[in-house]
Amino acid sequence: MNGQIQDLTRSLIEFALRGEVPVSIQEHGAALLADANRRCAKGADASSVEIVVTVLKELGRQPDDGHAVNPVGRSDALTVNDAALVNGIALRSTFNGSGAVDIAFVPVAAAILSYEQEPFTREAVDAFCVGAEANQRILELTGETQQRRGWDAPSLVGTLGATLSIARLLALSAEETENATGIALTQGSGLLLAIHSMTGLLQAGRAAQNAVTACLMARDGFTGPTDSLDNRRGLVSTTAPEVDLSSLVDHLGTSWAMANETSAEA
Amino acid sequence: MSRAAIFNALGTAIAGSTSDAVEIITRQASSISSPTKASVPARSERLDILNAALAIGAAIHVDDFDDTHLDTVIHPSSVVLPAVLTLGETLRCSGDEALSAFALGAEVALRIGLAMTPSHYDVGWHITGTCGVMGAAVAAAMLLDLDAEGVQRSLGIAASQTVGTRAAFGTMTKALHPGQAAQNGVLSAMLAKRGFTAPSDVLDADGSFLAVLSEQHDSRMVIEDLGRTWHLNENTFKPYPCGIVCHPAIDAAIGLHEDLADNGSHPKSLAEVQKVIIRCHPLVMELTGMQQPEDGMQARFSTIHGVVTGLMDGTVGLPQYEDERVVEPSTRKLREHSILEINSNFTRDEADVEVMFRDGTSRRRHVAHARGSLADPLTIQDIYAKVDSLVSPVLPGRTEWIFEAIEGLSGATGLDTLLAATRPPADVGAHS
Repeated sequence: MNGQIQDLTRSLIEFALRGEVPVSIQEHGAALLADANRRCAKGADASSVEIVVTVLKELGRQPDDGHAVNPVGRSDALTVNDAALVNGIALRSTFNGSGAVDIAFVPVAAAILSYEQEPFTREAVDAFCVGAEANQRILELTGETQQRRGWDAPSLVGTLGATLSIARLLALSAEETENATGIALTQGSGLLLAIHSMTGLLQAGRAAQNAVTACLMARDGFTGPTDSLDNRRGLVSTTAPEVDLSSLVDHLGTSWAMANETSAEA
Repeated sequence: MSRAAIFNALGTAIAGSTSDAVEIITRQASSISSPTKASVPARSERLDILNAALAIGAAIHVDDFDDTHLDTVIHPSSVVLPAVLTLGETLRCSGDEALSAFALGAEVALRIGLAMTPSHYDVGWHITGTCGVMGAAVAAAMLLDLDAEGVQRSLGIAASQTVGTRAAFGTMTKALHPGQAAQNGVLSAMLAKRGFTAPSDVLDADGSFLAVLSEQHDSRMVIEDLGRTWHLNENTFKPYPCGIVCHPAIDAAIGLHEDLADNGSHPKSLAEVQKVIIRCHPLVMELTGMQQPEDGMQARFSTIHGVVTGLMDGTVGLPQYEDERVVEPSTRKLREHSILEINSNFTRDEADVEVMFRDGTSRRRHVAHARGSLADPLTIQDIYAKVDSLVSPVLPGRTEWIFEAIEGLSGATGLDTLLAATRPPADVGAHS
């Protein structure tokens, strides 16, 4: 079925890069992002985070001064993509194995938080909103099927929204964003089997990290499949072949699925 | 077999080291400056271990000229060797440790791949990255000297970091897959060493790696005859830099080039061609059915392009996949006159090419087993000539040095000689 759908990828990217975010959605997104910031700080001392930071240092991942950022709640100097990894682990650690749809924004927030922490600019909030919307929409269609098939769906496809968010934040072109989305989605992974171990947290972190890396590489000219959602050998087709994605972009920009997200109040 | 695979892979890595994909990866890594760094063949930059693994894997695979295990279609060296080289260099492992880690890692990747073949690849996964990450994790775990529980956790972590769908074929991201899988394998073993937790039954449980990534699988294949049968021994080496299913048709085309030139006093001109019919296994259409590729990356997935250049040039190598050559008008025109015709009775390494001329005559070649297949494998002399053709333009005079360094790995206290042989001339003394 997915093979019959055309231009989903392009429509979603057009929305992500240029879509207007209504004030009410901005306010909701800002609250979600602020909550993610607090959660991230809370999870920053988790033993899984400590191990990952230690290993990154052992592997020589120390950036030049001009390229160093701090993960939320930590003083370690990391590259921006490694900070996204650490943020994702810390943030996911606060959700205790939650279900598919209600943590769709985790990789998106983790990626944004590697660039900005509170207070957030309007650009960061808008970027968060479009990425969270993309993840909410795709997980409402694919999440249940992917979970039934044994995938950790929020991490598996969560890199989609994270990529779109960072692409908007970095003002990538449509072509660069198509490539970035292709680079990131081809790395989608994560098993449900792992979600009660540290590896389950790593899955969320990798979704965020892969998104940031993909955007940086695409901006530098790296190419990927430009039809990643439409391609019959793409991530959705391989992990949820029975799902029809054709409604993914219905009323995009006028109807906001992420408005139902309530984790800020949870 | 491990030595031949490493030799072949270093050849393709050196040729691929100046590709656009590797240039970008290396540029992206330049913001990291740390004392712990690893070499990348034929490049002067030294990168952090994870980025070095990424760059080496991409360089090995970027030209689609690396080794192939035909039953699974896994390119084992592109994933396992980067893990071995980067950790082997920084941990100062011995040659024997590196050889063992390579063989064990590759064998694990192939066995897991066999357990999921063909359903896993058929639905769209790029099996080199998805199964390769498990092999890279095992190789890294061996070099880190992890115990059984540590290896188990390495596999558990790696299983959550699979890389690659076939949507990426024809783009730089295809080369990213083995590099990223190598990187993820190294990270998995390093995390396992530090106590990072993971499911311990990732190959056995409900919702296991095998069950989730392949609707049809046979877990017994993972351990059947383990230690006695080495599937790595069925690894093969490509004579042409493109998808493996293109190869028998290219063989036929090269043979026809000779036939047409030797046609008595009336050599046939390709300008007189009315039609080229390529009869082949169904997978050829599925994987490499592109009629008019627009660049070298896409051309690697066009059997028609390989056949056309074989007919025109009598040889098929990296020059036939340069972007300029792919869009050259006479090449494009001959591709227009070429068609694929499926023959379900053909084996995967079989093809038949018929060239039909406007005067009503035709010439035809049938290839029962492609060069480089298990039935007609490249000899070590063939592999040497191939590696020499890849290495000489980048590092002149190094082929024999690299070959001897690999031959000498057994008993070597480290990888220094091998790594020195792959460095640019200005850097040979600097790091050895």
